[in-house]
Amino acid sequence: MRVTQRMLSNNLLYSYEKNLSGISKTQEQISLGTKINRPSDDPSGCSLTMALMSNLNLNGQYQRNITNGLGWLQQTDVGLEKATDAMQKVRELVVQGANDTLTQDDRVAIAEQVDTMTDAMVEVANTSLGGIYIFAGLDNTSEPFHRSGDDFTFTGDDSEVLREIAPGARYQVNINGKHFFYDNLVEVAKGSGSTVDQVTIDDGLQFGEYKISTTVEDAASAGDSEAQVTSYYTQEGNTIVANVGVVNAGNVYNSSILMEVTGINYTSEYKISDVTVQFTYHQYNKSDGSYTTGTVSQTFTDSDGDGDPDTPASFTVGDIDLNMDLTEFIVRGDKAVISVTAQSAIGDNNIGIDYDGTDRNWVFSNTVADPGNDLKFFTLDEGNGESYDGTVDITFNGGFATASEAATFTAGNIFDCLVYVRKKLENNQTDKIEQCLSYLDEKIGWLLQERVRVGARTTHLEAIDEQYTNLEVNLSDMMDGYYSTDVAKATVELNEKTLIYQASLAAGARIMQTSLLDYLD
Amino acid sequence: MSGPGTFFGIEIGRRGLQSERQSMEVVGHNLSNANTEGYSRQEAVHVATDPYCNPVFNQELVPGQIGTGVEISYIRRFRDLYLDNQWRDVASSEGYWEGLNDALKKVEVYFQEPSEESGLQSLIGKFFNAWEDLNSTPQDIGVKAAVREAAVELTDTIRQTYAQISDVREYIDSIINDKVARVNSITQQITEVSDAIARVIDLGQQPNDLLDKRDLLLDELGKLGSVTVVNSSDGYVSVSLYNQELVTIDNNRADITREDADGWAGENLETGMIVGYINSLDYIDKYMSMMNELALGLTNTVNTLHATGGYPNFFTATGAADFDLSAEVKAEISKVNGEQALNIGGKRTDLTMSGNTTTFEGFYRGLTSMVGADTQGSADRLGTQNAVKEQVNNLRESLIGVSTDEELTKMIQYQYAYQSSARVVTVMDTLLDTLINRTAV
Repeated sequence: MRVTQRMLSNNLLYSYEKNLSGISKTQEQISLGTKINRPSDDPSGCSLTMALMSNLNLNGQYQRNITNGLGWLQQTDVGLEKATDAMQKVRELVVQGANDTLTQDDRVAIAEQVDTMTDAMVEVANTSLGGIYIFAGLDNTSEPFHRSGDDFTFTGDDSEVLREIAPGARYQVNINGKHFFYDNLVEVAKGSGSTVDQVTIDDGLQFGEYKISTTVEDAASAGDSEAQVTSYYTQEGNTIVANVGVVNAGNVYNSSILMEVTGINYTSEYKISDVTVQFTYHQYNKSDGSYTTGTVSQTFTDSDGDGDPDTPASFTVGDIDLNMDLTEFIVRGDKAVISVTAQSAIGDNNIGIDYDGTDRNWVFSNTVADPGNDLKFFTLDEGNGESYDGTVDITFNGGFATASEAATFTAGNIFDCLVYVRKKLENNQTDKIEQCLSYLDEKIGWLLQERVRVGARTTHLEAIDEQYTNLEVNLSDMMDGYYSTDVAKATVELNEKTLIYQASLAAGARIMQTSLLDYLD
Repeated sequence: MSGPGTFFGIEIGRRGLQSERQSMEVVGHNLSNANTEGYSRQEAVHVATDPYCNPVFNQELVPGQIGTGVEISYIRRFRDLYLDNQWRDVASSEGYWEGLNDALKKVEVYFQEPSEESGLQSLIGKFFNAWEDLNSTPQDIGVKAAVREAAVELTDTIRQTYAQISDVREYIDSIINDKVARVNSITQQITEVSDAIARVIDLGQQPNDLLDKRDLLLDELGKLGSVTVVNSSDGYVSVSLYNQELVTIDNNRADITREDADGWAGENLETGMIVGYINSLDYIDKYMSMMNELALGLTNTVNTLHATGGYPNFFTATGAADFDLSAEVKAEISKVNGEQALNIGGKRTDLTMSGNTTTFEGFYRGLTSMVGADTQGSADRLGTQNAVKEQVNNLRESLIGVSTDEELTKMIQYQYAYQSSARVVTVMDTLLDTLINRTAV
């Protein structure tokens, strides 16, 4: 083939350009340290590298979320620990207070310490982490718990605080502070044979343990309507109601009646001449479950002069005719709660609520659709006469069955518990102090249980965090394989290419300069 | 004897001198044009002049014919139509990939990936990370400001990238129009040169340099599009691009328009730089529509979650060109919805794009891969076509190129022939001198 100068120079230019662009590419890889500097350098490698970068970035964010979550969990643990300590302290005080050798004044002093611990508990409930109140759910920029006397308010919510720790995986890092410190009813234990579905209460209910029993009346348990005093408060410590009963044995009304002595007049010989008593009642009709309420004022006089204001012998409260004997020891300000149960026939449904050792019953005929609906009743604090008007709403599933411990629960939150314990000590109610210990133990048990759960979650999160750290190393290595220049290899390549480049230049220069003219004279 | 005449010998010498001198002039022309683009080497073709033989009645029949010397019958131009066609074919393929690659490279510049800090993928990640941080303290104004900042960076970058790609598209469009105008200009020049060529051929001469000029124009045209040339013996050519006749055999021409060019691109051939640029517009449109999809996807997904519970929309967009924060969020930092921070942050890993098969970052990665693959593909094809063209070019060069050594060798040859002819003249001169001046004085 004929070869011209132009061909030689074209070849030289072509190879020169190719070599130089190869050198330029290798140089770029070495000086930037990366093999892929634009998508077209290696489209699939670029895509893989980008995916790995995105993954690393995502994992980094998850680790940040985990760190934040661990902070929450750890602070929650600290809060629960302090709460447990406070409750243990109160428990010790109560044990101290149970000692028979103490006087009432001593117990009042201990009660004051319990009060101080109650304030401390409010502070624990307001634990914060960097200005965020961890027991307040998501509404957490201001203190959630406030105490005003014996009233406690809560301004947070019961939302879950979630942190995303993996795609689509949201992890709760708080505990439900409202449920813990503020809800009135936390656990309902159901005994064997119970058909109770749900129990709800309102905050008018007095603190303490309630046992619900359900009985389907058979021949043995059916009986006449009865009335009894289920709690009483007397300042003199004497019996104020001698006996109480229902006039009509076939009475079909259940009722919870709060009796308050509003006025007493005395004779010149310091004997009672008349007593004015106010009766407030919650009444339920056995046949249809309908509810009525009202207040009746009744005056009793001592007509026969024996000191007992026992006239009239019977009177009407709502639709019930009661007979009642008051004693001479009655004093203004005394209170009592009288519970009336309707007559029960075979097949009727009987609900019993035991509080403070006494049972109050309601009987409903089996045609009543919702027998446990919104039962209102009164209880008294026998130590200081405070009256409580509470509601218990029971729902059943699968009908009404006989169960002696259909449902058991403790009404009232941790703060209510502390207030209750304090009042028992203040009122020198030594017989209740044992019970206080069991209430405290129950609450301490919850706290410990929750701490265990928090601990488990902390361990879990820490394990995931470690996984991410390991994953980061592996992903970085993978990415290096695609993305980073192997400087040693690239340098060798660069040398190779430079050598070829130099050789091509030298050869070309040699050839292009030779021509016939060099050899002609 | 009746022969060709007394001064016949000198005439032979004179013819020799003239031919050798002309040949040397051709050699000189070749050497001067060794580096001229599109120049095909020329060669003077020596032909022995017609031998002397004069048939008259009183002429003796003698054996043989008497040679009468040499003349240059014509100046041959070395050119091969087949090689030219092959060259133009290959140039056309190369032109296509060159156009496409040029356009795509300009677009690829705006996809600076992989990048850990500043690429669009990392900004998408940063945006969603800011929401995750906001979830930890949903009412914190400082963190809301960080969310807004990350969003501003994201929207600014998407808008800017889109605008830059748009600019490239406009630029490519203007290049196409330029090339179309150039085609028209070339055909105009071809008709003018053809006219001149035809006139010279009419006179019986060889318009070698004019032919070179026309071939150079046809080469340039061949790079721009797939050209077909039909030669006629009277020097005119018919030129067609993609079977659309632009110059007819009787030298009438027609202009082409942009619509014609778009029509060629529609035939899906991979030839011609103009078609290459036009096809690149399709690729660019695809990239732009994917950017729009990304912007709208982000807007809809975030807004659906954000505009709840009394909060306004977070983004507003009809496409990537106006993708921005909503006016309410720009005006008041408190309008950032902290309650939805966890849900919005979680959308980073949800399959939200492409019919719920990929995430936002995955979608963008797909776009970047596409750009990279398209650019790399066109670059590879260009490289291949470059190499092929180099080969074909060498083949053509081999035929039409000037080899200085060859020309110099020929020049020595002609020089000696000239000297010989001069010698002949000198000797004839002495002979005649003897005859005329020395005989029977």
